[in-house]
Amino acid sequence: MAIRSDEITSIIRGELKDFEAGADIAGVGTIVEVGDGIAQIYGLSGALASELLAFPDGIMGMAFNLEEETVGALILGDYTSLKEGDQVKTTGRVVEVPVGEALIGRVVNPLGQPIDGKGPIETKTTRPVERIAPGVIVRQPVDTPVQTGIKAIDSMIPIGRGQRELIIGDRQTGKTAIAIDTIINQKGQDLICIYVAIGQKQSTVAQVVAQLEERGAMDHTIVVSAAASDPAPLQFLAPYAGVAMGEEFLDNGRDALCVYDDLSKHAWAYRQVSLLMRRPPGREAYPGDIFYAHSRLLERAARLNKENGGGSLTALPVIETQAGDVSAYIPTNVISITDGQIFLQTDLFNQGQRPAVNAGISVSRVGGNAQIKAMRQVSGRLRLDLAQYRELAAFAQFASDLDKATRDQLTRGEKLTATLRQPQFAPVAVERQVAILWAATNGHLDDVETAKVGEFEAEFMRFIESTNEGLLPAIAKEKALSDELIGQLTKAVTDFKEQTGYGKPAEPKRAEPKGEEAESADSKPSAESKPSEAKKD
Amino acid sequence: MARRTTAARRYAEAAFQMGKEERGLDRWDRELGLLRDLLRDPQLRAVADHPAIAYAAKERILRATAGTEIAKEPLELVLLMIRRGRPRAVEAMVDRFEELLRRERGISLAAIRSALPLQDDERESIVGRLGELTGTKIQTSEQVDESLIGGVAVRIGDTLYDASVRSRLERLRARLTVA
Repeated sequence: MAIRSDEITSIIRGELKDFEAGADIAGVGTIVEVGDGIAQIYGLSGALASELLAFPDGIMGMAFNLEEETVGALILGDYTSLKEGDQVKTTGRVVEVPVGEALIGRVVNPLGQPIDGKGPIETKTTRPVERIAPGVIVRQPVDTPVQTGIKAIDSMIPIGRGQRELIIGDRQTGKTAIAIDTIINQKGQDLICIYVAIGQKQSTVAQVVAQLEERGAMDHTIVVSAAASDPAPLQFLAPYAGVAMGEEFLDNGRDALCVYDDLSKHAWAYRQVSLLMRRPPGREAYPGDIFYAHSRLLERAARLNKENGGGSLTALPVIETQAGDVSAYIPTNVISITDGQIFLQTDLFNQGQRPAVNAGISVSRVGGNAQIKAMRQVSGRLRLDLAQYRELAAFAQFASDLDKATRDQLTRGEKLTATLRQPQFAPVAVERQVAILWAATNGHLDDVETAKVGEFEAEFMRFIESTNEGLLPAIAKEKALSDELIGQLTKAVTDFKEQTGYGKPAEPKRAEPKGEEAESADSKPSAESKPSEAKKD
Repeated sequence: MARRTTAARRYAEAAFQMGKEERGLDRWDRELGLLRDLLRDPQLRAVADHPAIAYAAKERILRATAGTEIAKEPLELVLLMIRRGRPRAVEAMVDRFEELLRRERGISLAAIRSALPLQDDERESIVGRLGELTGTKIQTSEQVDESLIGGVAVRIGDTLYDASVRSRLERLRARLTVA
């Protein structure tokens, strides 16, 4: 025992050896008003903008409003134990979060403290949460894709590394599902994902984490959570904390993806603290710098050039609209900041078109350059065909008699739409996407029943793998559809249809009634049923 | 609090400028101090504050109590503040005036808290060190605070020089719990 206590003493002595016993010099002030997650502090005349402030009991705060005699501070933590008259000290540091490898697989709060009960985070590196975005000189254009594994997105609204692509839609349209699928699809690839949950229910966050864990996606993911019950200042800070963690990878030449779910709630949190701080309200009572709050966040997404490590940070902000109103203040702001948007729509979702991506108004302004050539080869046609289909479908709703060209166009559109359907948690590798979209755009699915398109796809993939196992890897490797590969694909699809009996020649009698059943079950417009009736005549 | 002192600053700056121009800062200082003490009297304060008492009455009462000791300008300033409905800002105004005066003369006000009453030589060395640190003359106010355990904590303006045993223990705890 004597030896052990000696050891303990020497260890503690070692720990304290370089402890400076000198005076502690700090700017101080006193709380005059506290509540709602904010505090007014008298004094603190030396405080810097967004400096970290130390409240009693280890609670931290952030200088937010610097006024003549007082400082308005956001309290980052539990403010209920603070009271009027408490002393507040400056720390000389700005707000920062721990960053680095150790965070991967963890769930943390916006201050980088673990909230998953898996013990402390072993990292010494920290980064300020606010940083000026990389400048023009260090950037390069987007040229590598982020494969989301979602056919509708990878083909028509491709996302490049370093891009900012907005996911926008009403509640319950599958916005988070797209983000989660994208994260899951990065499994085994060198893309670190950061999922920032802002103002969501704790249960929802727990569910997302469970889904990610179940599918092995937490191995490359950091979750930053500021739930609905957390004070508004923490919710406000969350996306900046997330992006700071991402920047660590960006600056080390690696690739990261940041999902902000969602920025509408971030705007609400910011509105709350701004109003409490008596900053003047603007449109929809948001503060005047709400645009800057979002633009400076999203500007930090970047693709660096080779001289600067070549890393990338992709941003996928999410915005929830109210009743499809994209012309509200926050949606228009974020739309104008991002490099494109993925629109999700309730009616498509209810029709069973999932993911409910509206291909007509969704765009990606820079992602096209990042697409692999093979995908570009099939997607051009896909876009065009779908656009024509939409126009015709709207028009054909009122027409009784349609010529063959129109009917064909409608059938094609129907099959393409069906091809783009995809269940959740089932990301598709890019070469498979190319194969099935190639088949669909080249009319090989036109004679397959719409309801059976999904089945067709699954069986076709199995067929290719068993009969021509080199084909899919070859597409993935060459990244383009050469004439030879097209030949192989054509052969595969013809053989497959012959063997399995998909399409007209096999069992036309069986196919017809089934088609009708599927159509009556489908709530899609009558435009679909009319041409098929015409066919029967 | 913030709002009241903001107004008080403006009055204090005006008074300070007037005092400086007429080279009567000492007189202003003394007389404003007297007026502040006067208004600390609860009865007079209640009168000055009372919304139902006409200004004329307040003026008459204040002039009567101030007597002849106080020159015209400082009294007029305080009366102006009362007329403007800011009798409560008078105290803050005078504090601010004194602060401006100290700044003008290169004096810092150091509020020293110590665990035990200071000995003369201790005070001397503290004042000496603070003078070096701030480059100003030091005026002190002292207070015994046993919660410091030992050592001293000095506050000059918004800066705290904390060399107390308590703060050292706190820093030690932070250091050991983080690592």
